[in-house]
Amino acid sequence: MKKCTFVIACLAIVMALSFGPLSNHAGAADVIKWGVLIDLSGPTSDWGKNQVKGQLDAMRWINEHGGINGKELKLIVIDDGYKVPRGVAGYNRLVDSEKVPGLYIQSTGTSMTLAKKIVADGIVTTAAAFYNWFQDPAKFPYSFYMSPSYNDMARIALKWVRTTWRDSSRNPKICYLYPDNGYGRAILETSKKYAGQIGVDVGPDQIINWPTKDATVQLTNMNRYNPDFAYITSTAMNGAVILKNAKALGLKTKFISNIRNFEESLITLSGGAAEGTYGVHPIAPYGAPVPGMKKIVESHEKWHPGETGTNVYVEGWVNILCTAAALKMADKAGQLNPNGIRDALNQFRNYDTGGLAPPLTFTSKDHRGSTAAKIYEIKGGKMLPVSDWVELPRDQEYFGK
Amino acid sequence: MPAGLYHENYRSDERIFQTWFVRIWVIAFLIACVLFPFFGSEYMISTMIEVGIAIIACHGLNLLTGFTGQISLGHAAFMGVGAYTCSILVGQAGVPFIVALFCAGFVTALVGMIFGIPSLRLRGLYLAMATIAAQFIIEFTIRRWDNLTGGVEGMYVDPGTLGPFHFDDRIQLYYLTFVLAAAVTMATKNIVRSRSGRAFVAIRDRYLAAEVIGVNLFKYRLMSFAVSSFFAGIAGALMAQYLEVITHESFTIIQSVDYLAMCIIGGLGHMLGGFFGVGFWFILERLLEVVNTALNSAYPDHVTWFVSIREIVFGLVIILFLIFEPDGLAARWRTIRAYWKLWPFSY
Repeated sequence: MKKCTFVIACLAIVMALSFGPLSNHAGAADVIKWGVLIDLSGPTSDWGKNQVKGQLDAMRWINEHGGINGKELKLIVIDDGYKVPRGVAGYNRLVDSEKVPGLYIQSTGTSMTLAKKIVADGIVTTAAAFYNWFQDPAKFPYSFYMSPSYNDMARIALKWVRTTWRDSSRNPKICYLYPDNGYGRAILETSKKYAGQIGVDVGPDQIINWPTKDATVQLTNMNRYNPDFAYITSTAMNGAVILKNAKALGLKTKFISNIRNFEESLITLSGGAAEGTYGVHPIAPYGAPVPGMKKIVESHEKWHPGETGTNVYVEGWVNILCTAAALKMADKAGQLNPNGIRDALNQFRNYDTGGLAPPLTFTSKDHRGSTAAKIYEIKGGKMLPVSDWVELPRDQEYFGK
Repeated sequence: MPAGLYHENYRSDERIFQTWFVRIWVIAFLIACVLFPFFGSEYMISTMIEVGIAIIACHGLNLLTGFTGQISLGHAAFMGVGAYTCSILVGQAGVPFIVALFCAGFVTALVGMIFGIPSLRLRGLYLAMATIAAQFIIEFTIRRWDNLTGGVEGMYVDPGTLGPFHFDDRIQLYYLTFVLAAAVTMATKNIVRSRSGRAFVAIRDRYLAAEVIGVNLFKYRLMSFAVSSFFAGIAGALMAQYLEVITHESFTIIQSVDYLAMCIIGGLGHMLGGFFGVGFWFILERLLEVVNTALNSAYPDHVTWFVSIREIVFGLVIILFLIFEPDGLAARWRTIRAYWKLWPFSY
């Protein structure tokens, strides 16, 4: 019985801790809720934790600087552990119980599963799964994200490869390294088509599955084709293994990491093997000399002294700053509901985040927020830009596919 | 007049409802389930659909692991087979939903039997490994059979219809799940108290002795796999209806482990195990989520502190159950019931 009492007492304390402060807040009338469905305990949790840290800091900063036209912005964070059923349950809770007008969804599986339901429910979503098809408002009118799509970023990398190529005797050669899942395969079709159009030769694909323990076989296979560049679609944890193996094999190929692979942790995890590799990224790295970075660095140093800022943290800020801008517009129009927020986002014309992200434009016909990114190189353990904004035209050929 | 339960023959010993008291409670429970959508919120109804699906899946797994002693770590993959079979039959072949639902069960049973064949030679951990193989092979097939399953992009599930019912409506899906969960529970109960059920238990307790007394090991092991997979298939088809989009990520090994954990918590080899395990699991999960979200909102600076609470609690619960309550909540329930039966004159 004593054991039982102890357990109940522990539970009571936790519950009291969690509900006590909640009830204080619940009384406030002017609170604008926004959902965050994110992986904080699953396979992508290192990414999710940095993202949510950025989002919550941005929320705090916004609330300290006038809020949403005086109203408090409140993020409701739910951990989905990168599991689809838990993601769906979390979504139901956010929409049915918490009545959020919109939310941020991280995991691809959850985004895909909920895509149809989101349209039916009419809930604004900003997502971390940058798929081309979510950019077509004819199919997904409520889906927005503050970045070019994976496909566009892969094409930006190709464009950069082509424009910086100096050897006129032959075309540059590229290979694609990716895991065998929706995320890995998403870019292939459009990238290869685009490569053919601009004159980049594509070598045999190399499938490197998660979790990556060793990529020597695939890299050796790739090396038979001897490509000048290799485009890695992966995550930092897995991509680091690829770079380490490549260094051990002494490959001459230059590696270009995609957005989810190109993080600060890639530098530390790869133990120096990432040195001299490239990455394509639309978000300014933490501490970059752009006007919008000042408040982020100040907030981070004030609220998280001793921790390192990351570009995922900055991405978190960008997501919430843009969301807040839309909420302000919707609130001013007296339309603080999903349709109002959607319409507000659709009015973004070259919305400037202070250089944190390329200027964002959404229209009711086109949800490609931007089609520009920069190429960075890792030099001395830092991400340094080696190009200005590489921008793609808003062509219909690759739209929504 | 005899006090307490007094059985004079096997028929009464094997009765489903041992006393009128139990019967009343079960009927009350069923009525509560039927009335639930009238006062439950939309979120609660969604949760109850998940609970119903998990109960169907857990009955299947319990039959295989709890009653027959064959560890399976591929249960979620079998659910995936059911989900895809049903969705493909409805969406691409135009088969009526209710037919497709049972076809899903039969196809999954067939697949389960194929992966159950090694059970003749393999036992314990080795069989667990063979079923992990099933998990990966099925996941791989789903991922790569593009033109049938939609590959890595997944597929949209056409909502099932049955006469005037459309199961994209949550309340109607709830009733479908409820009816099927009740039917599966009845079926499991009846299998367990039949000749096959006794054969299953005999195989679990001592397969050599079972073989000596004339139990056909291969037949019954395979039968156990088939029935278990049939239920998994039905559960999977319902899950597809619930999720509305299915991808290879919807049925991962982590889910398989979760179902096994639910069975262990509830009590392997107890009919009530499925209910208790699933109930406990979902209540704990949702409670932790509420606590977690509240803590996150209240202390946003320390959001990363609380996220591990869920994982820690779940890990701890499974370890503690294995140590202190290896027979699960069902056994504890019996103890509690026995105590109250004699109360206040317990000895």
